[in-house]
Amino acid sequence: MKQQDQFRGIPVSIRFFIAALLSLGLVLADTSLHLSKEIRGSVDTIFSPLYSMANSPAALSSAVRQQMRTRYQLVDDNRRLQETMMLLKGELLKYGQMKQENEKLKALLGSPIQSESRVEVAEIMSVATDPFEQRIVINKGRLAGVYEGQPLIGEDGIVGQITDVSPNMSRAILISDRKHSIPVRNVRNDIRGIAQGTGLVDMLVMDDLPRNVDIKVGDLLVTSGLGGKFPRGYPVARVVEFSPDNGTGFAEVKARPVESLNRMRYVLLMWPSEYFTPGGQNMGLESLDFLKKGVSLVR
Amino acid sequence: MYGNLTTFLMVYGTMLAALVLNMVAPPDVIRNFYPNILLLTVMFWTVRIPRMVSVGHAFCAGLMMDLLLGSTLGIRAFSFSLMIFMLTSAFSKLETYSMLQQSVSIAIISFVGQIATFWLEHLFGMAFIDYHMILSSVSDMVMWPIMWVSLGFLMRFRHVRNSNLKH
Repeated sequence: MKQQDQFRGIPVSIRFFIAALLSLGLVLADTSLHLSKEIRGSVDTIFSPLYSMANSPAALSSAVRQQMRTRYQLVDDNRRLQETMMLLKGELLKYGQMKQENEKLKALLGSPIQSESRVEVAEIMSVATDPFEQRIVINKGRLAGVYEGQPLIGEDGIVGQITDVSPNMSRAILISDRKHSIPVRNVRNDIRGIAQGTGLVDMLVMDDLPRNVDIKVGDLLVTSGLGGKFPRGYPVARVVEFSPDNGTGFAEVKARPVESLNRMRYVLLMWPSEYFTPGGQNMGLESLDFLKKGVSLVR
Repeated sequence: MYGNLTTFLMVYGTMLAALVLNMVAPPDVIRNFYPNILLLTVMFWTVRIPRMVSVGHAFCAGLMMDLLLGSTLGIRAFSFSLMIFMLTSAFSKLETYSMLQQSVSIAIISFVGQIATFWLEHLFGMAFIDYHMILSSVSDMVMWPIMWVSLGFLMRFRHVRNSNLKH
């Protein structure tokens, strides 16, 4: 210890003191001044080669798997995809008709019509491996039109939202992060609530509901659209546990996200109606899944 | 003789590699058991070359982790500095311990660091205690002998010695 203390003339305890002061100063500055937004953008740009490096094993393995497929598998895949597309096209026909009908009804009621939204596929480059953080990094950034607060969806439902944007990549927070909450609605009876992340990837909680609330195990929670960030009507989670009394006077509702948040490779970026650029892009094939879901949700 | 350049390249090269390994998305099965490789690398160099790597390097490594994880800046910078401070002050003879003792000491330090991280996250953000904290300390403990042997081999291979550094 004596020997180590002599390094560079500054004792290690004083160096630790300086480091601790610096880091606590940084924490305070970051939480009160939000200075990290600008820093993080530029740092992410510098580190983007690192992210691609970290992503390369996964990319390589998927490329190899793609190359190793036999002709028979490809034919089989092709047949399956064509079948799915036929099915979805059928659903799409129904959807078009229903949309028209819905618009007419809404016009009769005098409520505003929701216009189309645009979606785009993004690949997940990196996930946070820290138990306190439920975050991902995706490979689309400002140049692709990504903006802060943008909703992210997966094949089955809501994934999270964008928190930081740099030119070629962006960082997103998952709905299961402890710092994230999402306004939801119970499909069965339109009860509204706020689903909060727990830090566990398969668990959301709603702890602001009265004890006599009508929620049952198996109820589907969808986005209510009230926060203004997420579009209305997308599946979020399914209730797995309901206990009317958790000792605080409120009901305890636990729900499991419908999207398996730790098994994603791709996510969809969504531009809700007000960000939709007319003449830009119409909905790509990858959005057909959502149209199908949209059909089941239009009542 | 090998000069300072080799040592510098090796230390920063392994730290960069550890940073990349920390960002690789691990398979779901081992997701919860994923050790903090960057932390272990900094710890290794602190034990082996304390003249060069110490609290300052730990601070920078922690700051990198904060930036890459997208969490509040300074939280991991603090916990990394704390852990390395513990390592250099309370466990300064770690090199002479048996491997089991070393691993247990690393697990203790890592657990204290996790608690510090949790505490700051709790004060300035939102966090709650779950069993992942213990799991990642355990995986750090299991990973330490592997790091010790592999980085030690690399070090012997390149003849990096503490005495090479003149300050």
